[in-house]
Amino acid sequence: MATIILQAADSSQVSGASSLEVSLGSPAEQLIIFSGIAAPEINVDDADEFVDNEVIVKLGVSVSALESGVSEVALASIENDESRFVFATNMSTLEIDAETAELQLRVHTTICGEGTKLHRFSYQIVAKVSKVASQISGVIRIPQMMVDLVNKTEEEVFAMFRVTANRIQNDGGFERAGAPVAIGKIVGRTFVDGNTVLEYIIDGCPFNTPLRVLVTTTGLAEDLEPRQVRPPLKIVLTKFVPTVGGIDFEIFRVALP
Amino acid sequence: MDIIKTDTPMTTEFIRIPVSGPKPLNTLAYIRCRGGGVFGGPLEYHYRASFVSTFQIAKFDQADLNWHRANSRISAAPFFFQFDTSSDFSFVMAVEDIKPFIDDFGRIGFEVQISQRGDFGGRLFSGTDWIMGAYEVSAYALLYEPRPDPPLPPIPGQSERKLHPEIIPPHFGKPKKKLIITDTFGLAGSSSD
Repeated sequence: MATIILQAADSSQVSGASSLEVSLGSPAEQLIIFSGIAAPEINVDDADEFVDNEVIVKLGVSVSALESGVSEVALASIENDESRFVFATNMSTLEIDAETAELQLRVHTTICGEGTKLHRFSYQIVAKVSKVASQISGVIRIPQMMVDLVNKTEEEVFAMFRVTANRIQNDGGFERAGAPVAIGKIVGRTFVDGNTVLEYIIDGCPFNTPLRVLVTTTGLAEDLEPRQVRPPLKIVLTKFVPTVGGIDFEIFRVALP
Repeated sequence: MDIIKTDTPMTTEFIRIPVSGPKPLNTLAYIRCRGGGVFGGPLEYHYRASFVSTFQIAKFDQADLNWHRANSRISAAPFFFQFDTSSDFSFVMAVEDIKPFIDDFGRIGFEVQISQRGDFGGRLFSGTDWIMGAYEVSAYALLYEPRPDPPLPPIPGQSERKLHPEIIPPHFGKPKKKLIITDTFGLAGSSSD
């Protein structure tokens, strides 16, 4: 049985991924709801043999305890080439990754048939959890002489910047930022010394995982680019060092090719 | 990509659950509604089905639409509940993506990307062959809805009852009946318990 691992924060692996957190009264306890359409893209070409797979969807939130949780999984995209077929999402379980404390959904699938593909399945999860207090934070400085954000509303400005913590991958000896594992949010805006300063936080980052923070923008000129101005580029959070601050970015003008 | 819009709200079930936040959001709504759009028709068709549920934000004011869109959170997934073909066709049926939205009237709606492909030898809907599929959307929405304020607690020491308390003595057990003994003429004599 093969195991396929998908990241909910990567839209090429899970489309329409969304989550919301609900306060239950006690600050540590939260109800978290996750939805999405996972794309394991499982192919088989045999109408006589059942093929089982295990799909793990990494949900991008680290928790210290999973008190209870329910998940619903169903077919979302299937294909068959004129043969007998089986498509099944047999079983789903919600669990904590023992190494990273990240919440993950494990789904057992079975398919059978000629030219048969289980492209996607939908999931929805309701979990009562205690969250890990892991966090990466910093600021994004935008010189007003490059981009004037004074007359824009906070909502408009916040929508222009997307902050993610991405898992660092090793490709042939070179480390590069891979799929995002946690999505941050902009929590404040101030104007300091001719700069618009946006504060960001990324909550619930996984432990023991090399991470790199990336900032992407929409609505800025092509030659303006956010760059990290304070180290470290590689961040590893642990139970002993659960938070890291001062991962700051600044907008620079770059030469276009 | 075509957008097929359904103006009539889809059949919906929902419940509202009061929650304590994150502030200022105070309501968690669970919404389940039938999916819009149809499977069938052209042999190959990719389109977005746009439709609304009957769930509407309570006491919605259009002046607050942008606030609701910026602050509300919706998490939704489409689930197939029916696949059907009349014969052994080659086919694809898919709900590829979903985007929830709040419409101009405060109703929660969904835009679902649908794909279908069938190789039916040109016989589709010829009267003998067909393909069918149906799905529903399951969604949670975290919203702000105005609620009546609870009555204020009494100011300590200023309540009329507190200033002049009425003391009611405790009463244990059933009160005893008083027995009256009369003579043959019905005249009461001395009583005894």
